Amino acid sequence: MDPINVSSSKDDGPALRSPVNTEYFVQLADLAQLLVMGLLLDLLLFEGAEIAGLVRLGVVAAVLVGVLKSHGWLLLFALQVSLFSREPRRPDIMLGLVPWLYCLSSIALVGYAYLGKPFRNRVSRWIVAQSRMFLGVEEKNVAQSSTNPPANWRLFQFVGTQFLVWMVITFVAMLALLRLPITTTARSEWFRNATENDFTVWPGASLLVLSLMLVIVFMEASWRQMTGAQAGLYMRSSFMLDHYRDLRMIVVRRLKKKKVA
Amino acid sequence: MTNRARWLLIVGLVGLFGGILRGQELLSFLSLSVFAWVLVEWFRFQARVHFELPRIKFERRVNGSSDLSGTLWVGRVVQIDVQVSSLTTIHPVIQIRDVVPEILELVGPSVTTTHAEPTKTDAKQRSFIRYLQNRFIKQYPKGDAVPLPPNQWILDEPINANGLGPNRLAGDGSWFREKPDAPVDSLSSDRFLTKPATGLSGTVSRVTFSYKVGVRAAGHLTLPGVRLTLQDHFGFFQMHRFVQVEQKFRLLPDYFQSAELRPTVKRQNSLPQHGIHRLQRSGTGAELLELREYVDGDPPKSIAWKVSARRDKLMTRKYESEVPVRIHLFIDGSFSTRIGGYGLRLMDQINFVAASVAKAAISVGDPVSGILVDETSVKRLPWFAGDRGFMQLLKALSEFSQIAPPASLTMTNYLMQCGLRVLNERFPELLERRYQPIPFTFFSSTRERFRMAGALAEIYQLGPQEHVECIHDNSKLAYFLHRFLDDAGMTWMAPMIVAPPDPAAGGALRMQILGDAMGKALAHARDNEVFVVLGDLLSCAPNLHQLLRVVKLALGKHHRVAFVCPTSTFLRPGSEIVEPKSGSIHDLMLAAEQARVRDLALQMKRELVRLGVAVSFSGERNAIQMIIAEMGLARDGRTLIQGGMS
Repeated sequence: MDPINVSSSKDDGPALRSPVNTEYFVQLADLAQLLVMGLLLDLLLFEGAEIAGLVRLGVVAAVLVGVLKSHGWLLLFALQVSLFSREPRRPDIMLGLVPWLYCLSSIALVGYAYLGKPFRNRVSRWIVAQSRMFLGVEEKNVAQSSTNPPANWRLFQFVGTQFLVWMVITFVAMLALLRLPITTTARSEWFRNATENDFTVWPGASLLVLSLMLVIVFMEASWRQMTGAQAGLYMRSSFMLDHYRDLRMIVVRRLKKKKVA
Repeated sequence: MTNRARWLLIVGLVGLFGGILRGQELLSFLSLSVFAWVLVEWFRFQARVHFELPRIKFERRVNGSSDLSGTLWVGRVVQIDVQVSSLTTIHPVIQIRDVVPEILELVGPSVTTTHAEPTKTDAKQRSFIRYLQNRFIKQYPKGDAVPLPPNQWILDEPINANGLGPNRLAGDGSWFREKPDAPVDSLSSDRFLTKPATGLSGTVSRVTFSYKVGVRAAGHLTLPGVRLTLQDHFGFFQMHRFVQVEQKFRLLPDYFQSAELRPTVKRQNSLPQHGIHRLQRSGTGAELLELREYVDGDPPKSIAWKVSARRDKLMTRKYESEVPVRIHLFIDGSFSTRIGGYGLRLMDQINFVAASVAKAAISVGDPVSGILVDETSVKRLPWFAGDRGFMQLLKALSEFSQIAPPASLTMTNYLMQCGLRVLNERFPELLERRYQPIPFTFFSSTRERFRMAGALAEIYQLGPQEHVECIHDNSKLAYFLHRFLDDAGMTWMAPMIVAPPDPAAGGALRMQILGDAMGKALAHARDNEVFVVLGDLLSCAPNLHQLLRVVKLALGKHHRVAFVCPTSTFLRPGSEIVEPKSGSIHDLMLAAEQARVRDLALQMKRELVRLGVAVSFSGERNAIQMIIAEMGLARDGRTLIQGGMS
């Protein structure tokens, strides 16, 4: 799909000769997506909870409205509230495949919400096109597919890359959570490691060095990303800020004199 | 970082603390993952900004030309193509806006594009794009939420080099197709480009956007560059940049091409030289004007012997004069003619009439001169003739149309808002918070002022003291804001000057200057010249008597005089316009203003027509025709109708 070119006068294929029908199916596909989303939300929010169906429906509907408005934070908040109320308190962390999948699907849902209507629309069009091809209503545009990386491929590429990123992120987050001294077990392990390594505070020194390096890298990167004008502005504003009181005094005094005169 | 990311981080932070404190692993895990996700997106975004942005190149073609300077005409449609290219893939989401100064008017369809691949677009996708663009716009800063103009596009698909090819980069940097027999559709699809000249091969992604503009007024135009807004897919981060792609143009005024003034049917055997007209007064021309009785002193060779023999008394032949007719255009460039916005100023009407009259005169060989009058000075242009002279006159009018505004020291909220908005458009990187540390304050207006002063200080390289003066001194900030807006191609913005205690004195001075200029022109005039005064004379109508003295002198010397006094409302001073359309304040004020203008116009008309001067109160075609009629009268010397009114 090319969202930019709106001036094309070419014959865009049989699919576009009946735009009303296609649009109708796209809307149906939109609804189907939202339905799947709702089911998934229901599963994530109320799994194992004994809550009245009407309440569940209401909550899911409210969250779906947030999704429609691209308010992904609302979805995250709902998931967090659900976990806050449902999840048992445990002294140690025992993360595995199921929590990882739960987290991955939750983040994917939040991401889906933030991608908003354009992404939803694109997926719907793909669904409609595939359905039409499957039913034999529309033939595959051979000329286009041979000369051009299909828009669907880019869609899959984007979704695949994003899922890969999310998988890595959640995996790293899981490792970090397992290593961080936030539970009793992890704290005692942390202490044991610290005392076993020649009584040095492990891994304090390494973390300090790493943090310093990161700070330096970030500062350097942000400084190097400045344009010449931004660097000039930064210097000028910093200088002005340092001498602001004196300069203000001088300027205000002059203004008062001018006013009196 | 956008509010979207901030909200997500806040919710994530709360969840993380809650999860850790309560020992809920999944809650902590989810919240920490969200943190990590935002961090990764930030890294990806920064990488894009750092590596991709500097490689994006822009080229603008105005009417097919990418020259750094050129000439455009008022009232004509101009095609602008912006080509975006990069040696790497251009990743979405990028909003591109070619900054168009106020002197241009966007016309035509909203978005036209030649994308770098075969297209498949339909009406539904247009609405989708519109939605996408609106969604994008909504995330803009507060002052920037404007209806989407056609010079703005959003790339939400990657533009890469996987398409057809190859095209090649010529040695002069222009692209050409390697396969001349390739189908036309693939011309815009070719993205696989190489550089044979250097031996380096690389892929180039390219996309071209097109839009159309109309030129509103004469003057100067600088197309400054392209404003970019980069955003990640999820809308967590945004960055604005301005890329300079500067092109300068001279904008020449439009003119009305009147019908051919030269007769198409040959009426006389001896046609005078081009630019010489047969004046029906006694002179030394070739055509007979009249026969009269001989009087002492008549040259013997002028005696018509045959007629004398028939009548039995001496008759003398009198011949017509053959004279050139010269046109003096007095162009008023006072402040009141320059306010009101490009295309709506009195100056624009004056330019149109002046250029049309000049064209009509030059086409029949009459030389034209311009006398440019402003608040304090008079500039006399040389005589222009021929096509080259006409172009020189238009250039002079163009120069005169756009001069720097007077140094205004009055600050208004509107000026502040305009300044902030134009700064945001032209120098978005200078308004970013992290690059401009400012003292802590609770008030957003104070913060805005600090930022604006800082940006202006950087643009105009002000010292620390002037920087602080801009923060605390309204007049200083107003001065630099006016200067900045003028540099950015904005029209003059009221209040330009402090209202004088005696407005009549200003009118008297203008009339004095105009009268002096007419007097000087009159002193150098020959016979049968046409004096055309184009200006905002209604605003100084009470001082008209200062001008009438010179007008009477000009008429006494057999010159023709015409006045064109356009009004900003384009309404003719009739009786119906003074009736308010409704009881609203706006309509009542409009009716009152029209009544005032009508009275002034009637009074002025009465005085001028009584003398035999043609007057028009509009800057439209009938004013041009009136002046052309006066020029015709000056050419043949007839005096059938004295004065006129349109």
